[in-house]
Amino acid sequence: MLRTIAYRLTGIPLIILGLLTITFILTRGIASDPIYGILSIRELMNEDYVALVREKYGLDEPLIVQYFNYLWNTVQGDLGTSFRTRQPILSDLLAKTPATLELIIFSLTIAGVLGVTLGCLAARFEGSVLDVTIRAVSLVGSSVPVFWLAIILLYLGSVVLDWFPGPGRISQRIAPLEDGTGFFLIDALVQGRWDAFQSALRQIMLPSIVLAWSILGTITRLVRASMLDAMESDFITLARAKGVGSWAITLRHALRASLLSTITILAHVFGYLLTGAVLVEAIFAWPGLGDYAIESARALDYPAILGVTLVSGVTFILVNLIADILYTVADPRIRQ
Amino acid sequence: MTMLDLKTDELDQPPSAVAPNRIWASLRSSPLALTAIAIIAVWTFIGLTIDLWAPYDPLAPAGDRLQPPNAQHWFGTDTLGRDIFTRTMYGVRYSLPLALIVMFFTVLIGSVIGMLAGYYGGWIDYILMRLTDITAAFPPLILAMCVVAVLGPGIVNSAIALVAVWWPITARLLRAEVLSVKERDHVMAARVNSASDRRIMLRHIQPLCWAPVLVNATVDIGIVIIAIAGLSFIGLGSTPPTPEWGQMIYEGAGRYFNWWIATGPGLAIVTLALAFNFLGDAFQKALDPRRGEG
Repeated sequence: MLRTIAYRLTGIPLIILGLLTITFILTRGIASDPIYGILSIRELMNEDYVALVREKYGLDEPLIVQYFNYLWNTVQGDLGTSFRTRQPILSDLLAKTPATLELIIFSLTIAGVLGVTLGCLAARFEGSVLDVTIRAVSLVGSSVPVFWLAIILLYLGSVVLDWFPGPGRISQRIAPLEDGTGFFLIDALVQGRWDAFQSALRQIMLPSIVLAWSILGTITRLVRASMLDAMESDFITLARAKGVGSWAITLRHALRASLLSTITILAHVFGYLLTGAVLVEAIFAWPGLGDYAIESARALDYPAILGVTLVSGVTFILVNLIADILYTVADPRIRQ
Repeated sequence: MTMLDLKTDELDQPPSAVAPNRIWASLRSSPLALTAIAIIAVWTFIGLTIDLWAPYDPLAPAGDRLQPPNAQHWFGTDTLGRDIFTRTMYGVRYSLPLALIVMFFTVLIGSVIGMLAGYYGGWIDYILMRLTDITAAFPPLILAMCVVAVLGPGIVNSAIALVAVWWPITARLLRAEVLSVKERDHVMAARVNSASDRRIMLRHIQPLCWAPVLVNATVDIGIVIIAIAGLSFIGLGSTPPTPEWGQMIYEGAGRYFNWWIATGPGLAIVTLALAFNFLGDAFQKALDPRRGEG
C-alpha cells in the first residue's frame, strides 16, 4: 500500500512542474509584454523608468532565467503582484479562499447526500419509471448552464417567493464578524453570534443549491452505474442466493461496495465545483476565488488569473491524490 | 501469390467498425434520440433562415425598454429595447457552429495524440500522456479563462482556448481503444504484410476506435455550447452588441428583477445542450447496449 501511495506522490511534483511551465508559457510566451500591464501609458513614455521597472520585475533577463526565477518564486509562495489590486497575489488568494471553500463544501454535502440517495434508488429500481425519471432529470441537470440557473433561482427564490435573501455573503444590516478563520459559519459559532450565523446560513443556501444542482446529475449517474456494477458481482449473487432482501442487498452490500468509487466520484466533481463556483460567485456577489478570477479576467490582470489557475490546478490535483490514497487505504484488494 | 499471402490479405481488411445502419436503427427506435435530432434540426434551420423571417433587427431597438414578454415581444425586450426573441434566434448562429468547430479540432488533436501514444507506446506514450495529465489537471473553464485572458478577449480566441483545454478527454479515450485494437488479428496481419505504421494507424486501427470518442464528442458539444456562453458571460467571449447567448445572459445577470432578459437565451442553451446530451446517450446505447444502460 505504501508503495502505491509513494508511487502516486512521486508523480505530483512532475505534474505541478508541468502546471507551472504551462502558466509560464501563457504569460511570457504568448502574452504581450507584461510591462504593458504593470505601467500606465504615461509611465511607458519614460524609457528610463520602463527600464528600471523591467529590472525590478526581472523582465530584462533572458527567458530561460525568467523561467527559473518564476519557478523559484512560486515555490517560495511568491505568485507576483496583481496589476489590479496592487497586492501580492498569494495574500489576495488566501483572503478569498475561505469564502469559496465554505460554498464548495456546503454544496458538495448537499449534492453528495442527494446524489448518492438518488443513484441508489435508481439502481435499486433499475428500469422502473423512477429510474427513468431520475436519469432524465440528471441529464437535464447537466444541460442547464449554472450561471443561468443562478439568475433564475435568485429571481424565484428571493423576489417571487421571498424565501432567500438577495446576493451577498452575510446581511449588511448586522454588525460585521470579527476576523477569524474566514469561514463565516464557523466564525459566527465561535464568537457566539447567533444572528450572524443565521444570516450567513440563509445567504449560503441559494448559491450552494445552484452549485449542487450543477454536479447532482453527474454524481447520480456515476453512483447508479457503480451500484449496478456492484450488483453484478459474485458476493451479491451469493447474498441473493442466501435469501437476503433486495433493500438489504442495496444498502448493506452494494452501497458499501460502491462507497469507494463514490469517493473518487466526489473528487472528480470537485473540478466542476471549482469551475461552477467561478460563475456562481459572480452572480451571488460572493467574495471568493471565482469572483476574484472573473474580476481579474475582466481587467486582463493575468498574473492574478494565473495565480487562480495555478491554485485551482494544484488544489484539484491534491483532492484527487487524497481520493486515491483513501481508495488505496480503504480497498483491501489494492492494499495487498 | 501463395496461399498464405491470400489469407493475410483477407485478414488485412479491418472488420466493419461502427455500423451506421445499426446505429440508425437503434436511434430510430428511441423517442428521445428522435426528439434530440428534431431539436438540432430546428435550430439549424433557424440559424440558416433567420435573416428571412426575423421579426425585428437583432441590433436595433424594437420598442420600449424592458418590456416583459407580451404578444409583440415573446421574450420581452432588453435594457436597450431590443427584441430578445429575435436576438435569441440569432444567437444560434454563434453557439452551434462554434461548438461544432471546437469539437472538430478537439477530436482531431486529441485523436492524433491518443493514436500516437497508444500505437507507439514507450517514451512517446509517456511524454504525450504526461502532457495530457497536466492539461487535464486544470479545471477546464478556469484554464480556458486564463488562455483567453492571455490571448485577448474575443469569440475566436475563446474557441481556441476551449480546444486547448478540451482535447485530453479524446486523447485518453482514443489511446485506450488503440491499446486494445492494436493487439487484434487483422493488425497483426497488416504488420506481417509489412504495411507502414501510418497505414496501419489510419486504415486498420483508426476505423475501430470511434465508438467512445463519438459518444463523448456528442455529449461534449452540449457542454462546449455552455462553456462558450460561460466565457462570454465572464466577459471574455463575444463583445456587445453581439446577440450571443452568454453575452445576453450576462446582460440579465445584474437585473434579476427583469428575469426575462436571461430567460430566452438560457432556454435556448438548455434545449440545444439537452438535445446533444440525449443524442450522446442514445449513441451510447446503440454502440454498447450494456453500458448504455448505465
